[in-house]
Amino acid sequence: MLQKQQPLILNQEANVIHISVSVSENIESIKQYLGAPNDLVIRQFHISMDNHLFAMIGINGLIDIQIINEQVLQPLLLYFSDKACISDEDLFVRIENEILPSFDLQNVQTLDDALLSILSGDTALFVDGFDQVLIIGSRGGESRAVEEPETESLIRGPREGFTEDIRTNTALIRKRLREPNLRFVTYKIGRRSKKEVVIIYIQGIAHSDLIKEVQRRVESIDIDDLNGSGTVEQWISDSFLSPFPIVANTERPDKVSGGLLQGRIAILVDRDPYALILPITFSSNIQSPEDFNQHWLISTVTRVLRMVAAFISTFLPALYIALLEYHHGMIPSKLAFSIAGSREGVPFPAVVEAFAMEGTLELLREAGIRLPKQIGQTIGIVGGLVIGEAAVSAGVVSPIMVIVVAITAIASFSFPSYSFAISLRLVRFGIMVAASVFGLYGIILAYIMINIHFVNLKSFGIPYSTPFAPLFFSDWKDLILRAPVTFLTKRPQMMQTEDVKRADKE
Amino acid sequence: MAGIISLTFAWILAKFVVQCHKQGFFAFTASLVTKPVSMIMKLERSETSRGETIMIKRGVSYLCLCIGLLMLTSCWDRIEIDQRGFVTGIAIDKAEQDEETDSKSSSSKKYVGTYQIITPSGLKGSGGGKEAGGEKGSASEGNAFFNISSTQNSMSSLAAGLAAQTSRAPYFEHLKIIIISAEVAKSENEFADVLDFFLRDNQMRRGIVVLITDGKAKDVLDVKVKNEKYPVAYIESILKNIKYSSFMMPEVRIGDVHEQLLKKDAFAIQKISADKEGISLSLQGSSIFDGTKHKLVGFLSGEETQGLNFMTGQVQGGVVETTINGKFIDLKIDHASRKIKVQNLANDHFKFIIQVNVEGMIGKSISELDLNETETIKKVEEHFQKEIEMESQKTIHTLQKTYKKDAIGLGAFLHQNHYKTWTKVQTDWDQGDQIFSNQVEVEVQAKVKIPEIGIVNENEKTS
Repeated sequence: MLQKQQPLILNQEANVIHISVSVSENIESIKQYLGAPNDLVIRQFHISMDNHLFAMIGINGLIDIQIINEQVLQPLLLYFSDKACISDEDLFVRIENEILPSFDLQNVQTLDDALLSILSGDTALFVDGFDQVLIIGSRGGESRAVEEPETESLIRGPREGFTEDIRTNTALIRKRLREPNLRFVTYKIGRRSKKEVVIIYIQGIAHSDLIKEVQRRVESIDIDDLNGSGTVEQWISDSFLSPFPIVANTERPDKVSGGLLQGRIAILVDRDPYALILPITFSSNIQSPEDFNQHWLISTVTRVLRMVAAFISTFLPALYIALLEYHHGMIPSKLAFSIAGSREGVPFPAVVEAFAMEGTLELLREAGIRLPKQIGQTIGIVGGLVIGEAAVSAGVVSPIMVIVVAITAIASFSFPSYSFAISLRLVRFGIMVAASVFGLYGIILAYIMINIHFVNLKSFGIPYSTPFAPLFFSDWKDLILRAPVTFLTKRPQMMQTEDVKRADKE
Repeated sequence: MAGIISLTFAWILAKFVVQCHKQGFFAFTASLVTKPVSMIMKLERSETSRGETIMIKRGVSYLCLCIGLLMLTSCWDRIEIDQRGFVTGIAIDKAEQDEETDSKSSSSKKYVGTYQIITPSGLKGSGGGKEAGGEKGSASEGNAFFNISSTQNSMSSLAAGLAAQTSRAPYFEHLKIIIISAEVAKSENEFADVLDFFLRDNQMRRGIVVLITDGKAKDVLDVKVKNEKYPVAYIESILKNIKYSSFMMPEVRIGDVHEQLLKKDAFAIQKISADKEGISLSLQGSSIFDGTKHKLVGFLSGEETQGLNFMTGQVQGGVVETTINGKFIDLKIDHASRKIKVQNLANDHFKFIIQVNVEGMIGKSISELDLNETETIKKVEEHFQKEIEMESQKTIHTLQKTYKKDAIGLGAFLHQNHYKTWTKVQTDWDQGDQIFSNQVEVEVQAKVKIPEIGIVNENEKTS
């Protein structure tokens, strides 16, 4: 026993474990590898006159017992109850082909594969005298129902969201695209966790080089466990220094199917309700699936609004600092007097004030996320009303600063993409530092630096600033302006799709 | 924040010093130039690390150095907005030359400058009625602003002098109005010298409005205002009423004045006057300036200013009054334009025709007139035409005979359109031989159109 204590790492080329002919030997070795856990269910039974030994192995909680009972045990026992066992040679083939009515059956040659299937929730059927295992698909167990995605709720649009179960998720995508060219490429990633990672694309739309590159990068992931889609995202990202998301994540199957039709690639990770969409550009962050459900004028205005929100949430506190510390002449006179009046008696310079208030806001936000929902509201009241109001009436901060913080917060919440909003938050603090040191000059420097970064940044070979910087005018129809749907007859040119047309004109 | 930055800086400095010590200063600085900083700082652990990480580490160390550089600038011109003394208006008077200063007149101070400085906290309350500031005029006034005066030789020393008198140093970027007393403006070249500071200083805007007052400039800033919270805001609001009164000149900004000072043409600047009690202000009228000496020669009344505005095409609105059968009837001007034509340039006799086109509606009519008839409208139009022509002629007369200055811009017109003629006359236009006052005839041809007579036809049944 002792010499086998070292952990078993499945499917290593060097030492494939073969299945023994003896069932009890197999059971022993499985028990040994798994450490004989108490959720391992082993059902051994002798069948027919010659007491042929069968064994079924699964893990309690992962398997759907009903499937096993109805589709395996029952037919087996019924079939053999009045028959002597048939010749040994074709017993296994018979069971596989004639007896079991199960839909998902697999014949597996090595113990590694069998173990992996058992750990995934399938049931293994060992038959004495054969060095093969029948794997019966019985994955079940508890899983969440399809619910409305909480982080991306829409007013108008489907209410379905991904769940933790990857089968449900792939099905949700399939339901949206009855497309024979929809491809699911599955990888089992994680030295120990062996999580399923599925790359989804539409053959004939997505650029073949892009597919290859994504596959290469996903294959290069080598880690014991993938935490979730976030880990995959970071493994395959182009630049780990950039604060901006170059891979989008979403809980919405409709967003994924939309992305696939635009020639993008989606990645699903088992046990994670977030799908990754890649490559994306800056403009993807201000677009929401709802845009296509609304009238084009409304969507266009909404997108303009989001652009303004992006600007506000990045630059407003910095502008406040710059204008109040250096450029008093740039504020309209009456506003300047009113700001000066409201700052009368505030002990801190505007920089300290701004950093303190923005910091408080971030704290509040963080606290609000961690707390249970019932207490979350209390935080809102304490933070928003008590701290805000009290700080102003105590004369520690000026009311204008509170307004600035509030507008910034509201603006940063108005993004469809949460990860983009976070990165803007990060950038905001940098720009505030620039503003406090150099004033407006600093803001402009920072702005230029961000722009330089934007045009340098690439998401899987697609420049982040397309279709602005490598200019694709035809893509401007679905950029800030969302043209009427009848005008959107082509797939995005920036994605270099193999199939260009979405519709024939007229 | 600054602490973190300075710590980083200190850390880099410490590294620097240690490395210097090891290698010797010159060797070290030489290597600084040739090698990436990270190599010197020993930021990277191994030589064999991938190129990527070298780049990153180099980037990080450069970043640290850049942050360190920030310390060198250290926000040197940062001033909180609530520590500024916002000067909104400046009044400039001549210092009284009397008593003890008489003996040493050369060293005596020349100007009294009055700054109107805003008290922001006073502005806040009085509007909402939260404070009891509105009860007495003086109480609320004292809250929103204060006037402070000093006597100095120049405008910049005035600013310096007043900085010594107030808690918050004067800040001019919100300066709106400069009021100059006639006394200052009358003396030769002094006007330009006074304005020089306001043109030259980098805190000054070119949109500052310049006003000339016939009385003491300080009195204008001391006026007790009604609607607004401080006198300068009051004056500013009046300046915007050019659309309702043609007795006012359009505002003249300091940038415009600068242009005029660089040219040799006579020009006009808006006039402001405060009554003795300091209760009311009036912006009617204008002041006429000499083009070469840049000094004030005199004022035009409100009516004369209207005539001038018609001739210069600056009327944006207002009312023309005329009489029909001894009763007054008003024209509300919608818009007006003018065109200058030269009829005769020969024989040392210049004849200009100024065509004034006015369009407007009847502001006030009288019962006798039946405005439904085209004939009556024609008649009324003619009356107004005559009135405008007469008023303009009055202005021309004043300009030609009293002030002898061409504020209408006829000289400039010649300059632009008849340059050869202009080169001959330019030295003697309104200087020397006074061609403008002696040899120029101006005919004003007004054309009034009344496309609408108001929203009623008549005010009472006449027949």
